[in-house]
Amino acid sequence: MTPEPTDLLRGARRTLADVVLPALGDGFAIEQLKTVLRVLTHLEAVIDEAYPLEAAEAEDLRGLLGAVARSSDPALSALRETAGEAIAGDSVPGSLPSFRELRDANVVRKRVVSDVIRALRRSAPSAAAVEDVETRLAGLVRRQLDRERRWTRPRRTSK
Amino acid sequence: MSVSEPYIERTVRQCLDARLVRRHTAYHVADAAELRSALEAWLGAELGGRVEIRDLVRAPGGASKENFFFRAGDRALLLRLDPGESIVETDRQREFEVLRAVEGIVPAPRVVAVDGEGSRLGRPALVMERVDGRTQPELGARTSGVGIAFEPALRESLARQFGNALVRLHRIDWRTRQLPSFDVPRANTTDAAAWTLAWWERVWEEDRLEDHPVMVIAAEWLREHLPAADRIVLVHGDYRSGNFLYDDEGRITAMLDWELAHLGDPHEDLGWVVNDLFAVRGDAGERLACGLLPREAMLADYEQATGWTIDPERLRFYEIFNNYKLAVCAHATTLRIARGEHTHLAASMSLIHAFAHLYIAALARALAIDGSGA
Repeated sequence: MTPEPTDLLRGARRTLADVVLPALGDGFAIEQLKTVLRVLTHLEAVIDEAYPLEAAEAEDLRGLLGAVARSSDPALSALRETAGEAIAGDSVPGSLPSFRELRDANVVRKRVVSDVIRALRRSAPSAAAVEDVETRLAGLVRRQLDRERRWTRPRRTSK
Repeated sequence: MSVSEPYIERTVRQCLDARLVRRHTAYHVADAAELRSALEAWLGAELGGRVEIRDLVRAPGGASKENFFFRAGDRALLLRLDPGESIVETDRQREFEVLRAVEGIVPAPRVVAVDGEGSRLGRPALVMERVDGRTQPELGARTSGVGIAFEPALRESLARQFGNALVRLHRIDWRTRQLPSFDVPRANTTDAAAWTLAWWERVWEEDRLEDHPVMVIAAEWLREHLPAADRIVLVHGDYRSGNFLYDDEGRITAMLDWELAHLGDPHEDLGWVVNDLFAVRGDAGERLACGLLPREAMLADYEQATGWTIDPERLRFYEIFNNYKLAVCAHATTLRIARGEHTHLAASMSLIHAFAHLYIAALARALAIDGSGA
């Protein structure tokens, strides 16, 4: 489908840079417009990554919450049901969730992950019983940091 | 050592409470033409006699308040006006009091008038004298004001003044100053650390649009490791390169951005000064804290000038806390206020949000949860 998002962004950026910016005289307005141009340039560079990065995050979150739902440790007992609910019914065969659906579901899942972290820190779970959860949490953190780096600093090569 | 309960200073709490109320009302970016007559009436009442405002224009720079340059008679002044919401929600009365407290001790703008209630211009406001100088070299200037590479010829002089000003600030006998808006944490308790953590945890709770595992792990770690402060000093709260003005001769003309000042542990400012994210590489490739001095030299100079010993464990706590605080502002508040259309700097806020990743990654490294095995 056209125009592609990057076509729209590039058009807006060029008009602002070539026509609007040279016509401005107010120092604050110039500073703000330069900031807007940086935002547009950044967005052009990363927009194609938005969906795959969000989908990868969803995958990590589902994996972690699935492990919580399966865990037998008492420290996580109060969260088992919530974790299960946060990953239930989000895979409809043959359909791809929209970006908004992915985002909204990830926001809910991350809230549950926060509760999981607090539960693990504030109790003394059996290391063996939560090993899968801890391993998946460590992986989630590591990969999330890498995704955030790719999203905010796209010109850098990822690890 | 007594363990302190989470507590947020009275005036900080009031400020955050007021913000939650404003969050549900419409915000309009201030208009210079509309401000003029109210500003003239206010300053006339403050200074006595009729005041004519000239050359009132919005000031560039800054990521927090709505700032305006103007002239009143032969005085060049700056108006700092609260926006709907700010990347840091702070109290103009506190800013006024701390600027008065450091007058003649630390180079800083002289305050002229304050309206902490917002009865004059519709929002809380502060007027101060405008100080000449720049925050960074014009060539290679950075929009963020973070990670500044100063002119090599001026670096040594700037480093000495920057360090001396911090020492003078921390040695102020704040008990003899008028600081009625400030609550006093007890020395030899964890008050200072607990209060400042409670402040920024509240902001995180109220501003975040989504959770982040590193922020939860960091908050848990900070609560488990609150240190006691052996002395209570006046803390600047944002003491770094980008927050001072200097002239062509390399003289620091003013330390800026006092809005986060509070009474607390001197290690909090020290942890800010040596934050690696404010550092740049020197000519020999060495990391220069705030673009001025190697970290160890910066800390050694401070110890020598004060005669105090820096506690490495407390410094580590505050380095981690400071990145937590930076991440709260960058990850939570920026997007909250931009999405809520409560800031005059919406584009800047979304751009600053990108810095959140750096602060969160630094937190993860410090807590050894980034997978690097450090």
